[in-house]
Amino acid sequence: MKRSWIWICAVSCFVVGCYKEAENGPLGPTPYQLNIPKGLPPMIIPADNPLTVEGVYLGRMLFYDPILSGDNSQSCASCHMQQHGFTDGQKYSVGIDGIEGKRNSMPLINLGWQSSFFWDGGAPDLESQALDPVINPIEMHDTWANAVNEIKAIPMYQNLFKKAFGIDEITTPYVVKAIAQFERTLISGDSKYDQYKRGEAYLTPLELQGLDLFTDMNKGDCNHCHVLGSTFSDFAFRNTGLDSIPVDEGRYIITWNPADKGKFKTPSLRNIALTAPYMHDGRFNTLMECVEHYNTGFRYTPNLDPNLYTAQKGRMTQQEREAIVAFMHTLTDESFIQMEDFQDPR
Amino acid sequence: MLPVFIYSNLIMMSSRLLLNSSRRAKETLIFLLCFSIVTVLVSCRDKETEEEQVVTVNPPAVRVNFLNRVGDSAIVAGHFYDRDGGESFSLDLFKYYISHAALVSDAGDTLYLNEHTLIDEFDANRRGFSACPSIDGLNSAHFNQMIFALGVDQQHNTSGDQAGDLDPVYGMIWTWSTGYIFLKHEGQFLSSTGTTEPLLYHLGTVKAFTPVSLPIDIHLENEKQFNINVKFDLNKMYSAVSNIVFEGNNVIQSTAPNDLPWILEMKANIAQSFSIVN
Repeated sequence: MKRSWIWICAVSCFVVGCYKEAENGPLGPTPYQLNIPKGLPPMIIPADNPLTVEGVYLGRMLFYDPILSGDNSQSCASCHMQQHGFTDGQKYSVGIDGIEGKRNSMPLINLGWQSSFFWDGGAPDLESQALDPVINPIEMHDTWANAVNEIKAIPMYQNLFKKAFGIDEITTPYVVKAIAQFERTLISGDSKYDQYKRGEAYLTPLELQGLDLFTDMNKGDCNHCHVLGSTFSDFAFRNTGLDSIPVDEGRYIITWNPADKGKFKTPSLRNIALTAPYMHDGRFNTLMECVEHYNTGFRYTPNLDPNLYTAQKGRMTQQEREAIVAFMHTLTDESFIQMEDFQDPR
Repeated sequence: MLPVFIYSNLIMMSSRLLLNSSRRAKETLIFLLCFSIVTVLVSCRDKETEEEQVVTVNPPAVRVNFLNRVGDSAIVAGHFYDRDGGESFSLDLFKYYISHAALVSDAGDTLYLNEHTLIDEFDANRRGFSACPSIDGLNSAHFNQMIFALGVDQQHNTSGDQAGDLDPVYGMIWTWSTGYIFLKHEGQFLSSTGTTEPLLYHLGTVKAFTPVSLPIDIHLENEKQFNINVKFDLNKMYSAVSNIVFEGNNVIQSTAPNDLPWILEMKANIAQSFSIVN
């Protein structure tokens, strides 16, 4: 009995001592625990934008809110739909003024492992990336001043920003921080291939043949760039010989380095069967057309990737190409496109 | 009130225990009580009170104003100004970033005044910045040089989610890649055939970052206010070193390597376009 009194006294003292500290502010948002699937490395998260439950939820609300476009008709989700691996299934996306863009909407999958964004790597982080579509005249065509003012006028957002970041004054950096937080949670790692690697599923003989060809340097040689397992891309910039003279100069627009003409970021192959059409300009409608491009279609252009330059044209048979496509279908993650946490929370 | 209530109850309970317990338990209780009193006192001590006890001397208050001019003329929106070279132009928008401004003393000390400030000719609240730099410990408070840069440094130019004057709400970021527009001049000019044509110059990229160095003669003292007026002459911006011709080059947004010669000409001109005026 006496011992318990001693404990009560001691604990009370600490409670009283800490009371002043506690009344100075709330305990802050709750850290968000990312569920990183086996096979993917730890995600590097910017020190100034740690993931929190409140921040991710706010980002999810903003991602689906058309308030970020000039006429409040389009949200991020208009061109990044979950069922299409967060692309829009179109060759080019169409902005609020009915103007067609020049590049294919990029999938939003496993973004936390990438170090540059857009097809040409024009944005170095997700926070910066989220700034551009909002003010691009051929996309959401708003101004940040207008978008932030509209957000400020909604009491719900005042409350959500306060909870997520402890701020009373909503500013642009916090809007993009929240969106980036949500985007970092869009993780895919439960495809049939992942299950096969974990010993939970079997691949068919055709899929297994495709897997072999994927890594065979004299056949598919896909593995050089779309590194098998993990992220299925090294996210480097390459010219894959789509045009003899690049119509879109790609990475060169950012770096002004002639060696970057016609280079684009290697996309991940995860959920690739969901994200048609393909390439930076959406020129191929099917995965078979893509494989055929790397088999015989590529053109000998300056800056052509050395792996293609040395590849023999016509090295894969029709059956082999079908096997590679069958393997790529095993990278579809059904749970990713059905995940409730990724849907519009309204 | 809550801490006082809990604390008084605690003392009452402890006193009763002290009366009724063994010697060893009493010793433990006394130790815990002393420890808790110290804990409470330490955690409740008001740090602000501590700071107030230090006697402070106010550092000098420095105000830096940017006076945008065409020659000696102040700028009026829509008014056409004759350039030294002949072409007439107007301004509807004129904004630029001034970063890392500092005064350099006779002894070589550098006294920084700002990080990034957006100057906007058509916003009276954005034509300069104020600073209260500490001159304590400097070898000399006489400054003979003012340095700053037009533009945003590379570290800040490669990240978009920034606050203050770098907040994207000011419309000074590109829409096609991450980075800031260092200077915007939008208006019109009169072509050689007498027509009015749009003039849109957006200067940027890492190659456009322009360090500026100006002679100055200023002695800072604590408790006093100082004004530094920096003139930015647009005539010089378009002709100090290289003559920029608007005709045929009236819309340039620093988007392609073809714009590089213009960027470098503008940079060379801008470095010569500022002066300290009374």
